Amino acid sequence: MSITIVTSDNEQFCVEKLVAQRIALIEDMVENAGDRPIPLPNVTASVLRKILEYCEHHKNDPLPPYDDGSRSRTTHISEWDQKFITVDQEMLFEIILAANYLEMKPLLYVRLNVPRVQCLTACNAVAGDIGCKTVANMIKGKSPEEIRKLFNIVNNFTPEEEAQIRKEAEWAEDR
Amino acid sequence: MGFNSLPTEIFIHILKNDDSRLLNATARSRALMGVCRHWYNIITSIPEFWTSVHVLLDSMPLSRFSWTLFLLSEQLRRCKGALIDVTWQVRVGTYHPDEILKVFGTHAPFKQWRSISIIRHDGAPPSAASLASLGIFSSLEEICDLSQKIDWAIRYIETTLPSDAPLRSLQCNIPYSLIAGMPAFRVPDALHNILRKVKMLRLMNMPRGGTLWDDLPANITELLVERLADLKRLDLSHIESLFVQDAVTNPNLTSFTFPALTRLDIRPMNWPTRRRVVFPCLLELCLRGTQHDSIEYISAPMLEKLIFNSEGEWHKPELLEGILALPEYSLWPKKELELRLLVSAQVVGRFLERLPELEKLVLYMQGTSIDLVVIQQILTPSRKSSNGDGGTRLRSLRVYLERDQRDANAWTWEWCLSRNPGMKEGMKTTSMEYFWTRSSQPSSFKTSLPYWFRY
Repeated sequence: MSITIVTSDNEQFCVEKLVAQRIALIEDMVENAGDRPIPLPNVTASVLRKILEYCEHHKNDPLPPYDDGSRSRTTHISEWDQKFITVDQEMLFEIILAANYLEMKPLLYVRLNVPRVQCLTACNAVAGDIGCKTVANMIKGKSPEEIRKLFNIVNNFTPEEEAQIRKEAEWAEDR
Repeated sequence: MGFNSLPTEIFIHILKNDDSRLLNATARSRALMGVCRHWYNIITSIPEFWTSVHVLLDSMPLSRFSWTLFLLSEQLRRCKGALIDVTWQVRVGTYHPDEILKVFGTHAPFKQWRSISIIRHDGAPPSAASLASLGIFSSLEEICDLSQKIDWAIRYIETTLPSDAPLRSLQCNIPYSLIAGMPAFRVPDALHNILRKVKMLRLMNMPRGGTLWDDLPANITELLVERLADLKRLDLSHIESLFVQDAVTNPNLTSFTFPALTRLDIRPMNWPTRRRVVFPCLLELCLRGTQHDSIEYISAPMLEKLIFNSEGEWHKPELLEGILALPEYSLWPKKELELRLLVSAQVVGRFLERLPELEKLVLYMQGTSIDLVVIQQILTPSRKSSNGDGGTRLRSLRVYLERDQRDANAWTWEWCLSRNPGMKEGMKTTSMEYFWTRSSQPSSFKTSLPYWFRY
């Protein structure tokens, strides 16, 4: 059985239900949609294609055990996921945003304390989590200057402000 | 689309995943807020980035002391009432500790303190009035007293701590380097009283607290002990998790009984008792630097996970040889084996032959002394598992490598896969794990030591 998803740029995707159900938002919409296409006005075709690639690869993964957030966070990314997320920065941020919109981000429902969805989300959420971990790995150990350069961020502090912040940071490094 | 376009919630999630925070979370927050105004505004508005408070003061000029107090004040203000973890390391110079407490009084009184780690306090104690002005430790979950000389702090905590306080962990450590030369430790009365008073307390660590064990409350289920030299017996029916540090053979120890124990982590120079000990419920056992003849005394029929950690003895292959030479024995784990020491392919293979039902294997590879080709030999053994399919029951393999080995060995992993179609199939149907990480050895034993001690 398959369902149809329509992206913001009006492209239609015919997706196996098992695959689509990896996305929490769609899983919730499927019941009410009947045979009608499911619109995703915040996701472009190129991004959805990537998301579905991820869902297809992980469609048979078992549901992970209940995670109440107390377990230590893993920073590991599997080899396949690593390749999956090796994209340009623009696409990386688009995937993260889409995963957020599609409710594929981890811990959201943990915070809201909705146990039924909790397991599903912990499983479905991984694409967003991989994205965030990838960005976190990119900034790991880098100085503010290096981060600005990496993400093309403009330093909009006044010289006085920057000097004050630097003084505070240098003090902290001595601790 | 750029980093600064991300929703704040995602932005925060990314920063929380930045491993650079593990070493010093607050220092990292201070560094990252210097990226741009947007980062500054977000980072300074999230209390979680500031709750690790390290009060580190030594003799310093007054101007620097004032600046330090100002920054402490700024940090506590950013906490916005959130619970904080305080590490206290103060050498009083020309100033008085009351001045430091005054800053806490304004922004973070004692009811806001979740944990306190006392490393040192040299010089005059704070005044009673100053302490009283900060109220009581109603939220305190962890106490870690590394100094053992700060009576004023422990006494104040004891007298003001409510009996329904959420205190779960009480640790009275001393720096490892000092253990050898110190006289036997006498547990201060104040700590004794805290122990009896707080019913939520679960984990306790006392160095050589030989006088304490007889009246250990039943709510303590996790125990960390150092040396057992003075003990004649240690029989604790309610302990579920036990960490023994620096145990030495003790000929006087006639009884060592833990019927409810499920986790044991022991770092002995030798097994403390030369008597056979049965742990009927033990599921997880970690042996650190243990002589192979010591484990002959341990019996654990229910054991699921066994960890060998040779620590400083990386180059003693006879350690494992000796263990492998032992006859069939109830100590072998049913599910998981972790080898935190240098191993050869041959040794790993022999372990797997002895443990055909093993489901999970964890290996640590250091330096360049072992090649990843060992993986191939492990995963394509000639041995048959009892499921009769000629394959392996091994469902999970973790390999920890040193960072600089990652690139050098990535191709080897691929090569192993390509040479073993059966293994590839296994990758699809089982949850074979393969982690490239730094060679850090995560502690398998849960402790409540402060972050700086752990990392």
